[in-house]
Amino acid sequence: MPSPKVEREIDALVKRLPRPQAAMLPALHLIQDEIGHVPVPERVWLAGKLGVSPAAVEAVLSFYTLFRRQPEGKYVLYVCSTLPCALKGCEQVFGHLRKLLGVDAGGTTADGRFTLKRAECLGACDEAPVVQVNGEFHNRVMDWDPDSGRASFATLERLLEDLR
Amino acid sequence: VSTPLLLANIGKPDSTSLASYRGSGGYEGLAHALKMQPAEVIEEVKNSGLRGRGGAGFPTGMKWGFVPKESPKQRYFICNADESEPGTFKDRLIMERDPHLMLEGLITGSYAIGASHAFIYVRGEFPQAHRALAQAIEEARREKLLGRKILGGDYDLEVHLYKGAGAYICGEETALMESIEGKRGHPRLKPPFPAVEGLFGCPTNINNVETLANVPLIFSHGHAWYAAIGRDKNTGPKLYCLSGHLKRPGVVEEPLGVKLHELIYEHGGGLWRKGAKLKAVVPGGSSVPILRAEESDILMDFDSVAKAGSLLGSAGVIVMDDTTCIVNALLNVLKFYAHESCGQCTPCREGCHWLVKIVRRIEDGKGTRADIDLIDNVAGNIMGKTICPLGDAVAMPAQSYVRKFRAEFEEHVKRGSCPLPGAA
Repeated sequence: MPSPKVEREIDALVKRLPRPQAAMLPALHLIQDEIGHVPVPERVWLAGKLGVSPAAVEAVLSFYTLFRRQPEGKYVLYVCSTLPCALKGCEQVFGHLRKLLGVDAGGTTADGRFTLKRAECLGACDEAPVVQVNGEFHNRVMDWDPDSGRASFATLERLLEDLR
Repeated sequence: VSTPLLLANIGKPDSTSLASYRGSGGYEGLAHALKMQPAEVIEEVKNSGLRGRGGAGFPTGMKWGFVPKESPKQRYFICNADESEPGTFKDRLIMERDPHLMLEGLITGSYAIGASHAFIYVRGEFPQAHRALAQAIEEARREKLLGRKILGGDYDLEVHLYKGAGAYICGEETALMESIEGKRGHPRLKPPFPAVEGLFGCPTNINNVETLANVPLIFSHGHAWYAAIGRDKNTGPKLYCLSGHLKRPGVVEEPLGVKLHELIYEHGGGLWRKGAKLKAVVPGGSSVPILRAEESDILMDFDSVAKAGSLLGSAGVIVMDDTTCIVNALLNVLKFYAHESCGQCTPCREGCHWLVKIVRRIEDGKGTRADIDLIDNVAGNIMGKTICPLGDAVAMPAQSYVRKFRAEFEEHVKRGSCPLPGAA
């Protein structure tokens, strides 16, 4: 179950918001931030707190991509894959990470350290190609000379080294 | 290049602090507005000509005026900070670097419609924006700019900071309200419109971050000064997001009506490859119709871009040079919308995936000439047939990419392969 601290925060949200169910997203964020994902017992517990059915919690959990129903790696790497990043070589970034980590999209490394994922536009198109690690932006992760087509992944490899 | 108005404070080292914002004249506009009657505040915004910067370009003052003045119900004001349209990154800049600018607009608007509670719905992928806003709200509360008796008057406002969780559709106003209510982000059928029945069934106004960032300018300088910026019926400064094959991508401030070529060749530094040619430009985020290079010498305001057959949208300018495969670019855009379709309306839920399959087939060299017409047909059966505009957002690129670059689609079919493999 969530810690007393998280429970207190959820209780405060329920009190402050016009309807208990409005605390759903913030409560799921709080639980996930503490545990790393939202396990089944916590879903049922939250349903009771908010006065909704467990199905209502499940419906929300399965709709939003940032909520996790299973444990994932310590670092979740989101490679932005939408058009502006694609024009700046995000497929090469994804391919390089797949090679370095030995996992495909959605996969977690055997040591539980990294999960590799694709993201839809992360809203940092001027810094393309971008990767987000646990919510923080890493910009221009590929150094690319547009004229020769030569690409360097030094920035990307340094980032991974720092997280190992 | 004009003097920055929206980005005036952003260049300073401690731009997120209240002290820095006040040093740039911040919250002077709010002080003026709070001395006016709410109806006068709405009138001032109407007279400024401000149009919503979220994409639709609807007159902001008129929108505020739709909220019923006599209602026994609570009234809500929402700031839509769920910026997710591919190619758009202006709202994040304001939130991360000058949060008080939009907060001042939010307080002014809330006062105008008589809301005692406001929500800011920040995209879940923007933790830094969330932190900056949380700090700004805290500071504003300490300095009596929020909470009880704002600036010593008799207006009270409570602001709730709300974090999304990864769903493009929640940028649609009624889906966003469903999300705050703790549900899946399914857009609602309109009417009733939010002004009458919005958040928690109460009268609600909702505006984009950049729209609110414009409001303080109107009240610190007056509507006449504001309306003199830009062009007729397209007034005020605007943030343009430059991305794609440019030497200097980034956020640029210019008045509405700046030349698209000035954005591309002066601010953006031109194309990033030596000897490359401009192939296409998406002027307003990935959902708007694409422009061929020869159609791109236009003015960037709501009416001029519409006249050119596209939309200003979010002013997300995505530039493509001649190394880009248009079929592959369309495939990328379609995959985005297929991923983000909420699944509520059949034409969009099914159509998005059909379009992805058809365009992938063509890109892989396995398509037929009939497939090219099928794209137009399927897109036409989505357009205007869904509860929310996500359907149009997938149909507009699908139809325009095919109609404007048909020869490239045909070449894929004829060759049985992509002529520009590995591009885009």
